Amino acid sequence: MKIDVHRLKKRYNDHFALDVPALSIEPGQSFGLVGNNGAGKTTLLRLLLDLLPADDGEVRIGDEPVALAEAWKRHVGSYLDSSFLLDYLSPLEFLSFIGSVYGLSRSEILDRLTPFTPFLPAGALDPHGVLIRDLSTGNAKKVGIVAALFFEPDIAILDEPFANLDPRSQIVLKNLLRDLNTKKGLTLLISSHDLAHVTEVCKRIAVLEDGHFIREIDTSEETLRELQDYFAAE
Amino acid sequence: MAVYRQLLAHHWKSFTRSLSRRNRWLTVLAGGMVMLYVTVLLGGMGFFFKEVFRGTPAGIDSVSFLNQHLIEVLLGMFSMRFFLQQGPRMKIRPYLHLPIPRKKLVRFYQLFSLFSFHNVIPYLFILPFWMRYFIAGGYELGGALTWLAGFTLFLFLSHFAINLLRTVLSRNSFHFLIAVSVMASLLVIDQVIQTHFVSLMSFVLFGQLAAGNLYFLGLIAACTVSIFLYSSAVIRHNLRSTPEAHGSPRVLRRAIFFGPKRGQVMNLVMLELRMIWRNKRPKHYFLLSVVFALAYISLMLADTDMFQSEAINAVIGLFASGTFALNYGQLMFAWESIYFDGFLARSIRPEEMVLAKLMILQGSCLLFFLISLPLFIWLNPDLLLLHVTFLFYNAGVTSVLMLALAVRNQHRVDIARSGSFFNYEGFSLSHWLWIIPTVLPPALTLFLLQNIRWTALLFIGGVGVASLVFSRQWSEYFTQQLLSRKYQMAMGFRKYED
Repeated sequence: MKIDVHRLKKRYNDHFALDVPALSIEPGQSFGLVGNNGAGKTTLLRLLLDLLPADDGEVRIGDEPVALAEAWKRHVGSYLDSSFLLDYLSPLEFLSFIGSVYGLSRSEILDRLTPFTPFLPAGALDPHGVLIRDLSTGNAKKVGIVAALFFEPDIAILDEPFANLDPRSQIVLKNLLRDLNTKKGLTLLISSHDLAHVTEVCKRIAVLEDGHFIREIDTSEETLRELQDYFAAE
Repeated sequence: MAVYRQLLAHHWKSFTRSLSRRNRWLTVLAGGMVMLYVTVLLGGMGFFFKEVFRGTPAGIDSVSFLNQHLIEVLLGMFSMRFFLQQGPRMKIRPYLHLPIPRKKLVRFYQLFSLFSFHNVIPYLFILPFWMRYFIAGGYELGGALTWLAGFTLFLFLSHFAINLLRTVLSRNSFHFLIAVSVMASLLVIDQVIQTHFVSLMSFVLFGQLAAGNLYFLGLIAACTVSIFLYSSAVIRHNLRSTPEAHGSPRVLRRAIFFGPKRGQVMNLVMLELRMIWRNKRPKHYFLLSVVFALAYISLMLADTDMFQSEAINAVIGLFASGTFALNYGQLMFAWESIYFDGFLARSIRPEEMVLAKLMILQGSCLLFFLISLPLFIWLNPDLLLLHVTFLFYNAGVTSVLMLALAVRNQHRVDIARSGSFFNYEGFSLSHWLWIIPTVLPPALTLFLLQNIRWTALLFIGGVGVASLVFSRQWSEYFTQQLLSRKYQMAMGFRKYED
């Protein structure tokens, strides 16, 4: 499933927060979004998910304009922040609710969660588990990321997925995302401040600054150094 | 003094900046109109007390009659204020790490918290009453002043007692609700078996104050100062506990599994019921609704002498079965403000979200109808038909009105916020103004058609049934409303407010 952005503009008061003339992410592509704080990364992700109205232009997922339709949501898994978690549920309750939203039966939900068990916090699928709000920030985030991935969406949109995770979980997540992308054809869109992680997971990286794409790179061995030099020189 | 000056300056800034964040003119204008209405209403009731409360027994003057009931009224206000009054603890927190003596901080905020709307409202009634029946009514100035001072001290005493209770009970509101239920039950029993102990105590206390008895005034003053000092000490001691902590992690007895079998609408209903039960603020709305449906309604039903008006009956009808729909429904969608982006980004159909909410509102009317039904049968069977009529009205019309208000919500609500029960977070002017279309039509209908009561009840119930029949259409309409407002709602819900 393809993501198309056409002449997308978002303004906050008189200031342009985002101005993207064109962006196309092909099915199965892994796209990394990097930029400093306030560059417009989260604004772009929110526009892609129809959480903000665009001032101009449009976003299409598949053939559907996201602002005018709902069907695209069945193919997109996302985790931007803790607002995507229902923290008064236990991880099992939350994941089963998300599974039910996407029409999965009880056995399908449990089956599809199995590959994610090493990434989930210990006891997350225990029927006698604790509530998400009683988990640490990192563990709660793991539940949110799994909720975005386990129902086998065509596209996954993740904002800062590696932040707040312990080193082991970062490595597990990197491997999970790479596997889902290469083996299952999941289209990935990741925003991150962590240049090392994003270059390891994504094959295409774009730098966003003051709401504009100023550089796009196909990942190679030199990409990490190139990005580090760019941000160090600013 | 420099510390107190600084603290005052901070609060002045906080106050003026919170005003400028909103649409100031509209807020001031509409708020002023509501305040004017309340002032005229309460002031009129105070000044024309004799004319308004015509049920005053023969041979008892207005002052004696009020004296008899003052403690009952203050106790009623006490339990409501317990939920509404903002405590000083949350305001102290930003200063705790600074080298300011905590004793000073606590005393400042205890006294500062006296400047509260809840302490002004009673005077809108009391001062006109006092002017007419004490000053112009032939009482000696000394007695009149002692009575007013006693009333003021009583009000302060209840204010500091609430600060104390909220600090002690902030982790377990259930105990308070039990205590209130017991207190209300005792008051009802006091009325039903006609011991009138509370009235007698109230009569003696305020009667002595009116006679200028300074010993009684000294007694109340001593109680007030003691409560102030004790509550200050307890608040200071409790500052070390973290208000936001949820205590030990709660382990579920058994997690619920949301499968597709129940259908998406029922899953959403189950989800919202869990949200209510597992989060402090919505849970308190539910428990308060139960207390209201039992304790307050029984007080109103038991006291048949004082409440004979059809307009009051409309309020009884509205709140007996509609109390939860009115309390909780007005903040629907805002309850999920923290999770709203997550709902929007996922494949949850808006029409199913709206239908689930309508089902909760309508279901709550039936639940609270059943909860309060025994009270109507026991205390006032004459109002049974009114209760049935308002079940249909509340399920059909009140639920729809609340949903209409809910799709306009744009203020974030922190449902897990600890240390405070009811606060104004999430409320806007429209919530206060919404009382007019909610209460006025049924109250006016019953009042205007009081001579043909059956017709009035048939009309009110009929409107409710008709609206219930169109539930599907209502949910389609509110789905469109939700879709057209979702961006503003989401943007508002993302903003943190003081």
